[in-house]
Amino acid sequence: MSARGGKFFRGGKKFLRPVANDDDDDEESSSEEEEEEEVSTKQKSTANANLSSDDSDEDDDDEDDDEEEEEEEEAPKKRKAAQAEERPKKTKKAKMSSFFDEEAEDDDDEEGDDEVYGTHHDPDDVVRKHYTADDIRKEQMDEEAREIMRQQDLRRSRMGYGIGNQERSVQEMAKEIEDRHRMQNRRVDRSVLDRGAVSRQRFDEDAPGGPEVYTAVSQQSLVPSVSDPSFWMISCSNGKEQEMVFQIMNKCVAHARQGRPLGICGVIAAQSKGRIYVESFSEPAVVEAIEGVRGLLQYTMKLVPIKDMTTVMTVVPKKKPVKKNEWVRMTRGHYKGDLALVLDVRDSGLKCVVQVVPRLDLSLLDLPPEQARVRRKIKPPQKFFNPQEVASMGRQSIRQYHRALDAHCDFFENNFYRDGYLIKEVTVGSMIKPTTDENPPSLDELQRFRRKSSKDDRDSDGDENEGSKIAASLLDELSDLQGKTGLGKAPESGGLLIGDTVEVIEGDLVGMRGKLMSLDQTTVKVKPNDKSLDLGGTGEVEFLASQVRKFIAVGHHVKVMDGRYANETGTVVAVEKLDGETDLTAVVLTDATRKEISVRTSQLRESAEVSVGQNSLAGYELFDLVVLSGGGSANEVGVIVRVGLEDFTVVNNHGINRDVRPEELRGKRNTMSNRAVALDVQGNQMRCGDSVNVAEGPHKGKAATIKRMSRAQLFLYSQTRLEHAGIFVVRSRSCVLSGSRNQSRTGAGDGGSTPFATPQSQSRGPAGGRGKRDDALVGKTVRIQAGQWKGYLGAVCDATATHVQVELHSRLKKVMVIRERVAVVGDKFGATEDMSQNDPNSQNTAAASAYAAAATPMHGGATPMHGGATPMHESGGDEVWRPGAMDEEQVADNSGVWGADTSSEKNTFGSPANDADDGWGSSQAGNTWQPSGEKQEPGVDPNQSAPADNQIAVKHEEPAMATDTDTNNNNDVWFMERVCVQLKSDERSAVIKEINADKTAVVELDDRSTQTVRVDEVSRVNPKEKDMVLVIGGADVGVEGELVCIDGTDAILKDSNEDFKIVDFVLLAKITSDN
Amino acid sequence: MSDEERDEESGGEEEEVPQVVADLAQASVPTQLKGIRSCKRCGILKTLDQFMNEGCENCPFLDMIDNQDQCNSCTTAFFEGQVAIMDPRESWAAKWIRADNYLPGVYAISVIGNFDKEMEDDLESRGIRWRCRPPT
Repeated sequence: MSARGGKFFRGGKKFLRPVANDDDDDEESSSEEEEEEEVSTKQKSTANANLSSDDSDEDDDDEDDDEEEEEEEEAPKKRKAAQAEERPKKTKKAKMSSFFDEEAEDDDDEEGDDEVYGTHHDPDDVVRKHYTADDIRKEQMDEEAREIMRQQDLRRSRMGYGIGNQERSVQEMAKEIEDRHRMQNRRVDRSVLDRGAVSRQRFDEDAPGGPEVYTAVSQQSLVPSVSDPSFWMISCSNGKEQEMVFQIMNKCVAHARQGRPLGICGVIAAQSKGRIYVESFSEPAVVEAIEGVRGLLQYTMKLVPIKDMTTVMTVVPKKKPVKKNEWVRMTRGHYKGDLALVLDVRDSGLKCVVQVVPRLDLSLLDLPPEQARVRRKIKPPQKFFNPQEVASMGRQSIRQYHRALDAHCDFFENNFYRDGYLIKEVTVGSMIKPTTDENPPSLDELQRFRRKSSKDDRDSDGDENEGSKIAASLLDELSDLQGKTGLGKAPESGGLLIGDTVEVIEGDLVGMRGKLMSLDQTTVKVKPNDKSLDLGGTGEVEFLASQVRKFIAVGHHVKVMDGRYANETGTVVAVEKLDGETDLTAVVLTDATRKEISVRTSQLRESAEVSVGQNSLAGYELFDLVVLSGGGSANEVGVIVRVGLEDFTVVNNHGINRDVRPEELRGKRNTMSNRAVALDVQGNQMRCGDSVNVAEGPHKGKAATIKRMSRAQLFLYSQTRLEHAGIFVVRSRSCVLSGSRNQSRTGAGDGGSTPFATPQSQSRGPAGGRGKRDDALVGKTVRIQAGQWKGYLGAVCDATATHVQVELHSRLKKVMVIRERVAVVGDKFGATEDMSQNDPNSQNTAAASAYAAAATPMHGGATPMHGGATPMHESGGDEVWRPGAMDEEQVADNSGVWGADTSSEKNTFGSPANDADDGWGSSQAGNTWQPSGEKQEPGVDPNQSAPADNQIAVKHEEPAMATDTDTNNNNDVWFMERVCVQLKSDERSAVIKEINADKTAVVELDDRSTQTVRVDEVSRVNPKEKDMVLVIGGADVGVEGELVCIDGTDAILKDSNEDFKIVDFVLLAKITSDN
Repeated sequence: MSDEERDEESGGEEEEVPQVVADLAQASVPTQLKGIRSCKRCGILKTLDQFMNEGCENCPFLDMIDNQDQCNSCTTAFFEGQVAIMDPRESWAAKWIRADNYLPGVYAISVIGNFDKEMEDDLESRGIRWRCRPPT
């Protein structure tokens, strides 16, 4: 590099550089370097002996030696110190150029020796001899590049001459020499750096072309020395460092253009915040350079110690370029933290196109702006873009060409979507960052990123999206890795458990299979399957644990004990040995998902267990009613019938099952389902948990319970079904509610009318019986007609054949009352009667009370007279049983009290029907007090007219059924115990002992014999004075007493309380006194 | 530019303006603070437009002038640190970052990036070294 050095090599250079200007010293220095390179490279490739003979350049040799020595022995600091010591010495001898000459002469001497060799054995010559034609051609091809190199070298060497001053000062000379020494130290690196020579391609390790090698060693040789310019640190405001550098540079350029260069060498803005460094030999130059540069705090100027200079130049790469198909993370907005895949890098890595799972809130579109603004702050869940869904929202996505991807994409709301992914161009660094080792893409994220191609997706055409594929492959890789770590975790036993079938893989018995009998740290005892193989008499053979491995046969049912697929069960369909694996890999067809998974046999265990999969995933559980997104219809719901590791199987409301991913679900609807009520084919209400029978359709005949409901669709669960976890879908109208719940439910809704509620369900035969009638009275509001509690209103709590228990409304008390002494005045909701109708003074009422008990079932018919509301509760069927004709008869018997009324009723209904003898005869007597109501009703209450018509229609059928039209039987109010009767057949007198349920009575004749009679076979015995009588009608109905005297139609009787009562004679029935 | 240099060379060292100053006078400084790219080969910093218009003075063989694709593939936005080098020959900083035989200009301390494979092969066959390092 020095002029002197150049001279020695002039001869050699000529060969190397056929270019002009050999005389030029600048040239020389550069060529010198080239030579050095060659030498150094050659040194590495050839023997040292060769070098010493061939190498002409003692200087180089020297340098190399120096370097080696220094690198080996001297610490760089020490060297620096030595140089620092040297420097003042030289300046002191500034004028003593002779000294330098001498010194130089020494060098020259050495070099001179070399020169002899050099002239004879030009290294370039040697090298050239080995040139192939190809090399030469290449060299010529590189002419252009080499020319540039040469010029760069030239510039540098020219600078070596100082600032254009031919008469160099001694100082400069000293510096030069020093430089040269210094250069020796770094020469190797520089030669590598600057090489323009030709031999480089042979030595690959010396990295001919290619990236700069910043090894610690090579960089070490560049450490600054005192002869290098110094650094001055100057503060500036944070973030302005780069700007400051540019400004000072601009200033320097401007000054240079004026020919007045500033004396600084460089300005550095590394990664130290708020600081720049100016490199210069002189402090005043720095001051001058920074003067007038706005933003620099000149007073902060400070010299940087040499040892810190390298630190200044140290930068840590912060920004990292992203590459195509790399995983990155979004750093802004809703997508913050989301995994994205780089599809394309643009603008030298400043921007890139990423593919990410969209977070699009479609519901936002319909919201008013104010709400949308609030909602926009909420991070929507990840969901794949679906053009159909957008279309169903009434928005349109258009197909548009994406320039960067060179593909057509869906364009919606200023964003591109492809295959459901959002395609976004982002700025590297600010909007995305690479995934780091600490935060690599997780399995979960990759699974979410992955999109299974669905058939209806028009983009996919069967093949998966590229990004999805990458995710899938990475997933496989990860699972592989996980499998490996799973293996690594329990290598000591190889996953062996006592009872396993093992196979011997080593030793004499290789291939033997047996059952693992015992196991300790290192040895296992195996009982061979082959009984003939008996080796120690015990039937067991001992092996090292490493000599056996678990044997899993194809076709066995296994359970995965470990790893990613832990707890899956399935059938082994294949066992294979993969390359480079010690363990066998089994392919298992899983029970739950019917997928094939590869698992190491060590992770398997034979098991009959069938896994049902997981219980929950992403907050969803088995049998949850979920709303499905996608597929176009917004209201698709389904019930989860399988919870997998990463997805669900859902049976939707059409009964179709499909696999969905958690992000495709839009929430649960379990509570909605639990509140829902549906009607079955009979109109019964059904709720979740009810049992139903399927009446029609493909599932006809099946019995199941309702697990979930959605509108008219029932998700039925049957334990006997294996498919879809027992869930199947049936329309509610195709089901019949099973069990008794329907009766109880409707019964609860509508009191005592139940037996008559539906005509279909009613029995028309005589089997009705009393039991039901008793029930009918329960719950009714009654007025007590006689006795201590006369006049009180109460609700009937219980009823027997003879008595009713009434809970009084006005007193907190239940009283037992003879059945006959209560009159129904309303249903359980209270009295609905019109009081005037129950006027105690009226004969009508008296008669009614007498018949009250019997009339009870018919109260329904009676109620209408009390007002419009009640009749609504009664079904028309009740009226069927209102025997108009019978009333007529009764009226006749009852001395024409009812004359007018019944006739009117008869007109109203126009019914001559006589259905009295259907077992309800007695009860029908209750209608005695009804006709007046009935008479009013058709006019008053239009609601009633329909039932009335109905009634007529039915009644016409009645005569056919009526087998007995005996008119006496409506007097059977008296037909009760202890009443004295006379048998019509033979006039014998008898006493009724017992009333049977079928309207017959057991009578005791005078001769103590008993006989069963029907009500029409007996007649009442008119009492005489002193007889015990029972009042069977009127206000005092039920009263017993002694008949004192008879006065015309009135009779005076004395009751048990010694009170005298006047009662109509016809209302008395003789009873026996012996009670 | 090379013509000028030749002229200067032939003119000898006596020229009133030293070569380094002449080079400095022609140095190009990034005209903006944003969107600065670094030449992947020499590490010089310029804006994309500057690369488009002037190319890279150190690496004309990269042929970036008026070739946006080439500009994009031969420059990178991923670099750290800026060093303005006025005097490449003298500056230690320039030596440290091995920009000491380049023209004055602003250089990156570290350049991250890769050349395209073809470009890399081409440069390698020509024996040209480059500064950009592959990202670690």
